[in-house]
Amino acid sequence: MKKALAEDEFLRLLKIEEGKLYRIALAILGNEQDAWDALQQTAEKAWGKRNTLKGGSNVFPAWIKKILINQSLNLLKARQRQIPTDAQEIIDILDLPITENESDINLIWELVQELGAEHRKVIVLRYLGDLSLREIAGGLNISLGTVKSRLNTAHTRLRQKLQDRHLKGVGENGYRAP
Amino acid sequence: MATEPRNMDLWMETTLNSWAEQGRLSADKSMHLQSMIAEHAHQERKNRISRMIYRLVATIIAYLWLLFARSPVAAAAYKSSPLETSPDLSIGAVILLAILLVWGLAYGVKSQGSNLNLEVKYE
Repeated sequence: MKKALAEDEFLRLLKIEEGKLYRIALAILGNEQDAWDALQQTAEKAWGKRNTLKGGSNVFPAWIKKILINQSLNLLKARQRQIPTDAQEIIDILDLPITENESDINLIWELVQELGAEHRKVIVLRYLGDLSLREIAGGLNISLGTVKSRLNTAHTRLRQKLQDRHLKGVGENGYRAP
Repeated sequence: MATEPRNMDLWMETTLNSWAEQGRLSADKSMHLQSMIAEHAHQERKNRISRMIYRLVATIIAYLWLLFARSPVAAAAYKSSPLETSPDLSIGAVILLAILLVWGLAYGVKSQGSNLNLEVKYE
């Protein structure tokens, strides 16, 4: 019989993942309190279901992220919150240090925020949540065709924005926060 | 950074995940999470010990019941026993109820231990 993850190992792995999980929850739910609630619920649920973890510590990050995505979507449905509309608000909350090496990383989030709320949801669930298109459709209660359409539109608009940024001189020289 | 990523899909996935990886939880929140799980683990250990004790008591009671019951096994085993072999039915009923009560308590402890705050399942 497979042994469940021991307490100290579980706590060690949780400590490694907690920051990333919190940020993903914040990206989906749009406010700190909901993100914190989702993270706590995730930790509790993961502890209760640690017997179901197959593959040990190697698969723990993907496993707990899946639980977090489910908890976040449940909270989203329950509280009917919108994904954040203000990129600067999220940057302020997260207190990101802007450096030249991190230009891509901060630029992507700002660009995603400039898309409409509906496109942002699809982007976050697709690239941070690792959900399939069908799962996104189910989670957001929209058709598969709509998901594909929004993803394609988001790609096109992001591509255009990246070109615009380059033309304005904030591409290869690195992004500078306002 | 290239003006336009060659593979938009891959670029978005890697860059957004890099952004997520930079996330950090405050020290007090981190400590709260750790102590919350530690508390759950502690409660589970307590429940496990309680269940063991209840089962041990139930086993002893069951053994006593067999000892006094009209059981061929008990009769054969205690043929030479000086104890009375014709049990009072009311004693047997009481012992049986005691066994069921102890098992019920043990099941109750087990259910309490596994009852976490589960949210509505996302389909």
